[in-house]
Amino acid sequence: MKITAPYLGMLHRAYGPVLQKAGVEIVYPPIPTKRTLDLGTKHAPEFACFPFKVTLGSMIEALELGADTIFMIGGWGPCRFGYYDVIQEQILKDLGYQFIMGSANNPDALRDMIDLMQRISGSRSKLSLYKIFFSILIRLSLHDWVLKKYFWYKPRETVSGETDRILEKALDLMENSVSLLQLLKSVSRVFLWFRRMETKDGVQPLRVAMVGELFTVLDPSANMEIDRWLARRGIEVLKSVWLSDYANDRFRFKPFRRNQFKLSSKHAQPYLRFHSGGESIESVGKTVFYAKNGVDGVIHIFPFTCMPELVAQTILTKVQKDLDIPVLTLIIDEHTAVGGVETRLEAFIDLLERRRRRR
Amino acid sequence: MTRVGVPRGLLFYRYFPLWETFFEALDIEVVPSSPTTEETIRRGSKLLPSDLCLPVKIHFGHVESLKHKVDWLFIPRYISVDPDAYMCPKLIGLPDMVLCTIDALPPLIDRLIHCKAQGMGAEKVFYLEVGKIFSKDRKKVERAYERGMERQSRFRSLLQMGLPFEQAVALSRSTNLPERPKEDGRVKLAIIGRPYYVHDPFLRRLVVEQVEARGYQVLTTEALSTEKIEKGVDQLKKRIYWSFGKEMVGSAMGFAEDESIRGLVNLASFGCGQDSFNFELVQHYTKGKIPILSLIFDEHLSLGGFITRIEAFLEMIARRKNRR
Repeated sequence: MKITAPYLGMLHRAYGPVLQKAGVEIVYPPIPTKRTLDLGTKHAPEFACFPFKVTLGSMIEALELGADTIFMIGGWGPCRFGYYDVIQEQILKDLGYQFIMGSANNPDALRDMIDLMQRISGSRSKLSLYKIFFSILIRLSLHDWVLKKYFWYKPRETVSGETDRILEKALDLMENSVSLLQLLKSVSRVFLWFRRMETKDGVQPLRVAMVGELFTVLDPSANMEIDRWLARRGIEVLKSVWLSDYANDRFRFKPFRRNQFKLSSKHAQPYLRFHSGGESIESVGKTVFYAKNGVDGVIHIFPFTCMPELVAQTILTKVQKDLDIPVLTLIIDEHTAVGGVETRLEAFIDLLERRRRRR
Repeated sequence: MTRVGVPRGLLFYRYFPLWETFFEALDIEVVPSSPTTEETIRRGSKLLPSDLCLPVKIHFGHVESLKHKVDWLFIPRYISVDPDAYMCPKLIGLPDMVLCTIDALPPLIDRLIHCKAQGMGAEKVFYLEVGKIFSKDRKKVERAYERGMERQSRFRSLLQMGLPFEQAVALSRSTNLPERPKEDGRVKLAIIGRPYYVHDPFLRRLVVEQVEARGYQVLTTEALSTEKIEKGVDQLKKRIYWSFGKEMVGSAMGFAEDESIRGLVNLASFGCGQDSFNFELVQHYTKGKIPILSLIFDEHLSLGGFITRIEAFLEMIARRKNRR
């Protein structure tokens, strides 16, 4: 059995080492390229959202490499994501591929996730599966922690490129740490690397937050690494959604981290009173939160035809007026080009810098 | 008398008789906005980000035209009306979107219906809550709800007979239902689309009326009973979790089984997230059984383009029929 799953941010770096240690054979799809997207776009419905097309393309490429089991989470809406697995399976089977599609009945419930893993892996005991699941979650949150550190240190670095080197080293080190003890040791080493970095004194970089749909906020194939691009330009980047928060809201494995969904709901209350699917409540709630906490600007990024984020976009027009925070809307589809996005980002940064000076 | 405004868009085309009777029984005047025109679409498009779908824009146009004429606006939050299915996320966020984009609004009636979380009783609870705003007499509100439901079921059976929306609304007022019209030998076509695509007179003119004008009989998704639709949905690998998605895919599968129906016309709105998946399922499950025409509309409605495609499709159907 050769398992594969499409990329989603740093998720593969979290499950890879854990599953390999458990003896599962994983086929990583190639890093998404133009070909991936072209394959996805060719076979997907025209108005399917961008993540659907990229993940479909990745699945095809992984099947070409010999994968025979695809892992796609599933769900029960109201966002389209919960139905991805069914439509993608249908399209791929129509194309003649033979494989098993593994999806959970209800991915928000721990029991169903474990059931799914048991179904795929066959005879493993529940206890070992729980262990595997939570080690993935722990890795996930450590990765997110490193990335958050990266986005804090990058605009403050004095030696150009030092933070990027640390990040690369850190990710490699963590990937090679097999046991939990080793992992914790490497993380404390990474912590020291960051601590010992020389930082600029008295510099308060511009702070820009990325809010929006999970995949486009996190995955480099969708956001064209605008987060890194902004960081290189000396801007501190915050993100409204992280995979570890997403998992933590559902499985509560980080006792000291607040439930981010509830936090966002609280802040979104005056504008969006009921969760309308996807990350709509996070987008609205976190924008309000950022506006109140001195963030200079917000980038709202989501795929073309994303239903929940369109609701959020409509509501953000009011939020930005009320709370005086600039919001740049970036809508991603298969025709989005890096150049166009960067031009808009540059204009946006100019605007933020001018606002900062005026204050 | 208190005046409650009902925008003529979205779920208006599904629940209006129920709403009307319910409010009238509480001695409230119901003021629907006037039918959709180009002006409505222009107004709605101006208010909203360009990527939102046409039905939502139409709804906003109606709200805008109605807001100064009424004391209350009825924009309920329909989250789910089935135990296993949601409405569209845009309908879930509708009252919030209205509040954030339109100024100088009268107070909104924006209670929520959430049958998925609260069970099928949630619908009654919703009407009791709405009634509470206007009347302290709980008995009276309950009676109003029951009368509304009776009319709604008459309305649904009239639609099932194939009457047009306006006629069904008018005739459902009286308790004697007319007899089912006799089969007149016209060739039947089924139109797969949400009620607010099929019944909106402005959109109706583009597709439904064109097909009818060429001598065909049009069936809508409402012509099938819930059981038949559910039977179709049960064949899917995983049940669709959108109410209208269920209706569209389930009825398409039902129509495809029916020998007397010669073709399907699938209506979708530009940029509609759900329709893209629904159509994929419709295509997959009716492959080889029935010809399908897929039409997509947006705010740049041009009659010519629709007519060309509809005529080509009808000609193809006629040729198929002769060949058999």
